[in-house]
Amino acid sequence: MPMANDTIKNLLEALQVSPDNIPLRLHLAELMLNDEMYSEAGEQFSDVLKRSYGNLKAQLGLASCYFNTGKYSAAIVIYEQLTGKLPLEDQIRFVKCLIKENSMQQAIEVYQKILGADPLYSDEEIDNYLRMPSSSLYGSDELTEDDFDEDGSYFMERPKWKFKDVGGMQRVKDEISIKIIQPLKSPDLYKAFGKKTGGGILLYGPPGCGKTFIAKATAGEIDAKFINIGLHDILDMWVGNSEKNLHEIFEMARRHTPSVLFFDEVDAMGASRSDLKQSAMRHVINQFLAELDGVESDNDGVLILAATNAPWSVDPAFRRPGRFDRIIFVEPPDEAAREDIFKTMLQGKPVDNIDTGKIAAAAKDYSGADINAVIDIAVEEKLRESMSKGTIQPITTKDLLKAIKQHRPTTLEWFSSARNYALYANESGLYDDILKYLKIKK
Amino acid sequence: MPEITGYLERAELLLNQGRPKEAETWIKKVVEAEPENDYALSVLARCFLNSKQFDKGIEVIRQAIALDPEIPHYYYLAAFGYYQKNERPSAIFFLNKAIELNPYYAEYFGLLAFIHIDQNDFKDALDKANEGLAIDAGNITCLNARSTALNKLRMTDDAINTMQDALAIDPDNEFTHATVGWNHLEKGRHKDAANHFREALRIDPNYQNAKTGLKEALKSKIPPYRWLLQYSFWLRNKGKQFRWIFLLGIFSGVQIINYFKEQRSDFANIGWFVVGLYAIFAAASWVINPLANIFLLAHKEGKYALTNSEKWNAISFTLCVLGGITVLLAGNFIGDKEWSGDFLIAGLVVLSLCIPMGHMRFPLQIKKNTFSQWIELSLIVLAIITLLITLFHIPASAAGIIYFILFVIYTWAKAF
Repeated sequence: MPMANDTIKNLLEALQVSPDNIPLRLHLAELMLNDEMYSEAGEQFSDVLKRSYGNLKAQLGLASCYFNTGKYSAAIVIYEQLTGKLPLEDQIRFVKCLIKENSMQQAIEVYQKILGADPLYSDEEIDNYLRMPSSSLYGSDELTEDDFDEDGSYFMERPKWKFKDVGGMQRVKDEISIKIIQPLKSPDLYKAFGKKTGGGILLYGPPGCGKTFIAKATAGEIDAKFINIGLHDILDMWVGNSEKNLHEIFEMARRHTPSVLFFDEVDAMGASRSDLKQSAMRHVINQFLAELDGVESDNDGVLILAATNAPWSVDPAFRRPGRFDRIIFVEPPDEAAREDIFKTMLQGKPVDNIDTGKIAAAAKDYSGADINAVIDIAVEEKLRESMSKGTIQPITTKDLLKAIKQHRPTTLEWFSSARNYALYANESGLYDDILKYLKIKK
Repeated sequence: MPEITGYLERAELLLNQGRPKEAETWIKKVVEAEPENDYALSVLARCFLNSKQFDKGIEVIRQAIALDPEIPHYYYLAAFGYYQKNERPSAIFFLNKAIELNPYYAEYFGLLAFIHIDQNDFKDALDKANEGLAIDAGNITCLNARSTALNKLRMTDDAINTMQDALAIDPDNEFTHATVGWNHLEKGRHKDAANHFREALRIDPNYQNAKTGLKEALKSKIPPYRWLLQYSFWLRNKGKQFRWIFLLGIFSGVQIINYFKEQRSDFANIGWFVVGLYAIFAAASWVINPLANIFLLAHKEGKYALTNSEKWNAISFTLCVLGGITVLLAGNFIGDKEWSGDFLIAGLVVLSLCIPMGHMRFPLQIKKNTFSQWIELSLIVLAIITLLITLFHIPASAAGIIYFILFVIYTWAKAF
């Protein structure tokens, strides 16, 4: 920028002759600011303020210099003094400064004022911080299928897996089939027997035992769209938006029937209200219950599944008829299923005559995720060996048995807690399946 | 940034749901992103404290205090950690600091009252609980502390009234039910105690204090166990110094009576009675717990309350008793004097082994053993050597003598 530099040089010389020329000094400072000479610009703006106290342009310029040099708290002090007088550009800088200083509530308030004046305004950087991704759903009234399943921007997919792809879990598959798949396939039969259809299923069990996978397979079985909802898809910092997000997701599922709505870690969204401190979350729970009941809209064609590791933390209201009135225990894979999992997970890896039956027997209580971890341990060991020997060393039965000894099944901790719930808080027989699995007779 | 706020909320919810380990994974993400966020550090400390990782909890909360030394709750958390570690002077120091910063929060006085209860300062405990209740009449911790202190001071009616107040305020509080349970148990009302412990476990099935209480209440169905439990409550309330003097006094008294019994014939009957009573009392204190565990093993509710170690204690105790009696009877039936003497020694060794077997921690661990666990292991090894030597007809073996000496050391070491 030789032109600008020359101008700056000339202006500096001119100011030596007439240092009190405020417009000239402001012009110089603005040129410096545009030229990213922030500290020099800051000095000039400060000089203007010394000579002309309260000069708005100089204050805004100085704040801008602070913003660009990372002195956010200093910038905030100036912006706060000028509240109501700030042009849009500076209001945006103010919001960004507040975000950087972690003053989220104030940042939201200022940003809401900006949006109040210009509802179409959006700033990607600020949105990333202050709005949840799903809140961009409000940007368009009409949501097309392409919005969801093509580029993965959202959370809708059409799973390819079916029940036959799920190893073991026969009881779980049968229950889901009777409860939600058959009513879709043979509605007249259910009507003839006066059997009520609908409602949801709550899958519970130790982590890593395939709750999400069986839910996806359910969607695949009926060729439905699968919408996987996590807590972050719902929660929004702005009061009332979480409920709106939840409603939108249900509406989206209703528009794309047949669909399977799957709520992972439902204990977070449907937490027992006695465990909640914030009243905001209670509103989300009430909205969730209303959506499940289909008070304002019909949930026909929408299958609702939920999964949790802690069913005891889910508010009892969710278990009432028509909501998650069928609760299914997804237990760790049995020996045959473990053998299948080992075979599948070892596919494509260099192996040497593996006795999967022996390994599956040794891996009692191991979940699918644990088996994955066991294979990882064995693979890492073999990689090290291969590197030192210079040739590929295949995984053997012995390696896997050694890895099993190194990795303690994660399900044990879950069962130690679940056992207590089954023994002491099982008034309605909710956890009878756990007692059965642990071979406890009460 | 919103993710971080979400993680913090999730961690706090998980903590409230009694899932500190899961909460720990979420809050660690917040602490990684914002290492100087003192509030996040305090939540991490709560995760550690709630999962019984007291040292880590104290370390983290002290970091939070260093970042913001003006938050009284951080001092309270540090005090709670020290209290759980039985480091009462540090706990009191931090609690006083919390009270100094915020003298109007009843919970701090509640914890202080419980520390005084642990120190057998029941009067001070009552005063602190009352101070807390003057600030917040409905504070559950203070009500619990008040009731416990009143119970210890034998002001039973007031204690019951206080507990009724606490239950009326929050009938679904597991802590209150457990406190009521322990108060009942101390007074020998084991059925009422069991009901309250069951209620506490229904509310929070992972509440270890209630689980232990239920186990004790069920064992108290056996009258001798109940009497010994009440005796141990009474002794515990008297302080350490009194305990030493009392036990040594009984021991010396019995020795004196024993001496007079030998010297004067008119003392013989009384002497035998006292010595016999003492022997039953001493033996009962050793065998009653494993015996009660055997009872629980057969109890439909109790068998699930026992830990694996307690189950093994009960089983190995039974095997030793049955094995010892069988060997003694076999020696009696054989009739051969030389052999029956060997059988008598072997039988007594097996029988006496029931004491360490009934109290040791299972599964056996060679590493990380305490002094008494090493003695227990040595006793088992020596018992086996003694048995082999005896059965091979080698008289007065060194192993037997060492076994006897170790056995005496073990019983005395365990008693104190």
